Amino acid sequence: MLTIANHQFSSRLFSGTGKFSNSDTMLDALRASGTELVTLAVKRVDLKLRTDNLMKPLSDLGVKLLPNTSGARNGKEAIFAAQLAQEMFATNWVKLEIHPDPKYLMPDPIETLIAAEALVKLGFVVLPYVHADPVLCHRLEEVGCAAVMPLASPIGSNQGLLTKEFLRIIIEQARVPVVIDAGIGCPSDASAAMEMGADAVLVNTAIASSPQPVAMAKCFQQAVITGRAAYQAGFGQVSCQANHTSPLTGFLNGLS
Amino acid sequence: MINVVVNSQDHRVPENSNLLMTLQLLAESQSLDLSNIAVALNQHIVPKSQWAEMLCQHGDQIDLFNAVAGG
Repeated sequence: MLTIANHQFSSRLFSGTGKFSNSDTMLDALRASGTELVTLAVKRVDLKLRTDNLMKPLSDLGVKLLPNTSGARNGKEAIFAAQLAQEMFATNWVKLEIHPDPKYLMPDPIETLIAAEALVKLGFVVLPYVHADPVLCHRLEEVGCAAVMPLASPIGSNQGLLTKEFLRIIIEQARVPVVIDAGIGCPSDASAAMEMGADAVLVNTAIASSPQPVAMAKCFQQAVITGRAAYQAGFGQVSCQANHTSPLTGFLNGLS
Repeated sequence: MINVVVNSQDHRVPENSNLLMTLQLLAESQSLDLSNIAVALNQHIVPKSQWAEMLCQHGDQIDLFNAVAGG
């Protein structure tokens, strides 16, 4: 079981709700993924558009909601977004994300640290989305974040574990759960992250942008379970030289 | 009648309307679902339990937020 801030999760696959072609597909995919924690965003209401109420079907699904602060360009905006989300979702959990740059959506480390500290003091359970920076992750842990969510590659890029070696350091050093977020493109990426000892992965685009999101969600579920089980089983040593797995007794010598 | 600005749009509401009455008027005239929205009055978040206590003033800025899909 994975525990974050006294909440237990039996699934180590967290999922987003963005980019699905429609709500039914999203709900079917979430169900197939077995996820127990899903992210949502906060937006100003467009009074001219009728929007679906997402909260009801997600509540019916029984998943825990993790509002994000996407759209915030600095710490102040992120704190405001977190407080709006708290009011809206009746939760003090927040995925803190501050990315002022629209091209690569790189998280702002300084604003994130400032906002994280303030939100923790306000009583929030803060899960910050950050670059794969071991020092920053350590600082976020020190100010009281409940987990850290370092990126694998840019949001929505499906590029996989570009930051793998830094994620390895973060996992080695962290005393809070490490959730690999952003850029995971295929189930083998998720499995590799779990094999490295990540506590969970957050996957959205790779599932939502698959031509068959429900089937892909199931694949991610299996990959995360398998990756975690492999990590727990432990790996054999890597060697540069061959080590025979069958007896080399030379019993065929002299046949020709 | 007084004028309030809701998500950058001008709206006329009766004098002495509280925030809850204003929102209910909007829910009737616009496609607005009052469940699961968060409201800021002049950039201060007002908990749902206090909507009925906040009297609207001419020129008030009301911002409404809801949940959308996101990663």
